[in-house]
Amino acid sequence: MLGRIALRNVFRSKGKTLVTMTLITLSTVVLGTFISLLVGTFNKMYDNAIELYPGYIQVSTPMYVQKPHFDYLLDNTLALETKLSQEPMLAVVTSRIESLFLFSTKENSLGGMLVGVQPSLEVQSTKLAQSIIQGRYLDDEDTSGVVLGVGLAQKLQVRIGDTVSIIGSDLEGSFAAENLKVVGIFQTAVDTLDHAMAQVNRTFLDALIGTHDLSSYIIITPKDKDTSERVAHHLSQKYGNADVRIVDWHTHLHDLIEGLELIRISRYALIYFFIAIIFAVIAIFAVLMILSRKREVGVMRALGTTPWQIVAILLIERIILTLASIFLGLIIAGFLAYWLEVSPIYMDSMADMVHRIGIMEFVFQAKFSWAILVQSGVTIFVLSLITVLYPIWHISRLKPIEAIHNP
Amino acid sequence: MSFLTVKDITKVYGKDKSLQTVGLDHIHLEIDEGEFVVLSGPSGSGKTTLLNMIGGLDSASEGDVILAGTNLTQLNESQLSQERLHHIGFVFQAYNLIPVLTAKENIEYVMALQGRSKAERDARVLEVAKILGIEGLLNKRPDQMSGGQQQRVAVARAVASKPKLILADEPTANLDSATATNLMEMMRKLNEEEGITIIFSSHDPMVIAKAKRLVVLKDGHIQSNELK
Repeated sequence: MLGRIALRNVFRSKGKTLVTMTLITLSTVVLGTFISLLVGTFNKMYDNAIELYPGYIQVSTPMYVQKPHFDYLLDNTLALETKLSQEPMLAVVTSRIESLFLFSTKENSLGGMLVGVQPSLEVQSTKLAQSIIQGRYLDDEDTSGVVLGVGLAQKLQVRIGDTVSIIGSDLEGSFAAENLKVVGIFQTAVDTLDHAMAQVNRTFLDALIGTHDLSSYIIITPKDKDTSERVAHHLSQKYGNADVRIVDWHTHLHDLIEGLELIRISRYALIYFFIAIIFAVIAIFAVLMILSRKREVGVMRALGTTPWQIVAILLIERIILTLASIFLGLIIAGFLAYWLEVSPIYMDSMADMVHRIGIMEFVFQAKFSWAILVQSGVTIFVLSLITVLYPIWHISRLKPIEAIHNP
Repeated sequence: MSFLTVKDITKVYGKDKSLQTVGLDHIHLEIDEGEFVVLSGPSGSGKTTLLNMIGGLDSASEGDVILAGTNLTQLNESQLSQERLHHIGFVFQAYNLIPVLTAKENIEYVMALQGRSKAERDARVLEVAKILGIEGLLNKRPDQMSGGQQQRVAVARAVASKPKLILADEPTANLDSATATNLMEMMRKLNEEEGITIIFSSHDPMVIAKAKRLVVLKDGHIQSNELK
């Protein structure tokens, strides 16, 4: 009987019910869609930042992180790479050797970082190859081919097929110089890469500077990228020691994470502020709707309905109304999240901001996830119940005579 | 011991002594089971206040209300709810049917709260509806019925659960004289056939004429209390 009363009361004041349902549905759509968008967009930003160059998991010596010098290179890397390649949870294992060189042409000379990579493995680990705007990326057969950042190429005034001389030192501190042929020019939009980095086949660089079994880093991509933290921990336990440091991107991109987290928190605050405003309106509506029924509640109390039964009726009403609204809201939010996942929006206007923190592009891309939608639904459900707690408590505690005498 | 004892009841409204109003002033009243009592008197005499005290709807400033051995003034809200649910039926001046329920559902509401079976409720609703002549109204909602029809449903709701006591606060005030007479006849019949104790508040001469006992109140005091 109480459930029947509650259900019929939901449909009794159609206008008020419609307004409340619309507001709750809107809140669910806003929360579900924006949380999906935030999670998806930030995941995309992290992926962009990680896959552009640093990689998901890095292996190096602890000192190399602080002082990137030849003295602190990782030793016996061929054996370690072989062992790591046999780990079942890893998709790609590749190594790099980094060295500072002077890049020279007839027109100009410029300092920069020359990175020796394993091209066929590097393209599976990072996205630099996708940023080539002229020519091509390196392949395993390249000997003296080089890809340059667009800024570096412009300052050196070189084009595809031109020659660039490099001058630096080898492992022993002796003079190391060679002529390289420009095979590609990349543009990541990240200044530090575009203006100061070049890549060559590491076989060539190893021969030039004598770093055959030494590496600056080993870069690892796990099969499941979401598990990189756990995988890094596992590898660290197995292979880590005083000379081998294995960390995932949460550690080696710590500064980037801090920057992005601040942005993420501010976005969450904005969403919840908006939701709070909607629920303030819902709460006012709830107070008016419930307290307008004092007389009816007073009669029910006079007939023997207990305060807790009154609470139950009013709560059931709110739960029915809320669940229907959330269901509708989640369908819309789910559709929007899915649509924004498969049709991301590229925001060129945000490019400058994200380039400064080392991210190639800014993409609004939602992550469709049942967990996010359920979490949003539960949040709205709890908020909706909170809005009726006071008026329900107030009306259920009234003496029948006070309620009946209400006009 | 009487079925209902109102013992030295006082009701004072307002906390500020200089602004206090006395609604009931040391009222003492004893009513036996099966009586048909009318509380009469001018507006503001304390009729409704006394009915509210007897029904446990309002609390007394002093005194006791003892119904079938239970002192209502010593019960908390939940206990009072149970007392009203199982022993007292109410008929209000403004009918006060639950708007979202049909006449049938309104009539069986108290029985449903008492936990009686659907079969028992259905049988009792039909029985009471026949007595009150409202079989044709059972599927109608309050907003589909006239005032007189609603009041008969309200009476049916009050008697259906077979309470020991029915309290009716000016039940004929909003009815035309023919409907009011008809309603009083039915209440009298229920009193005689079901043995339910009924207490009315009214200053309607027709209602007063039907009373077996008339209690006249004035300014919160009992002016007269006589069997007819």
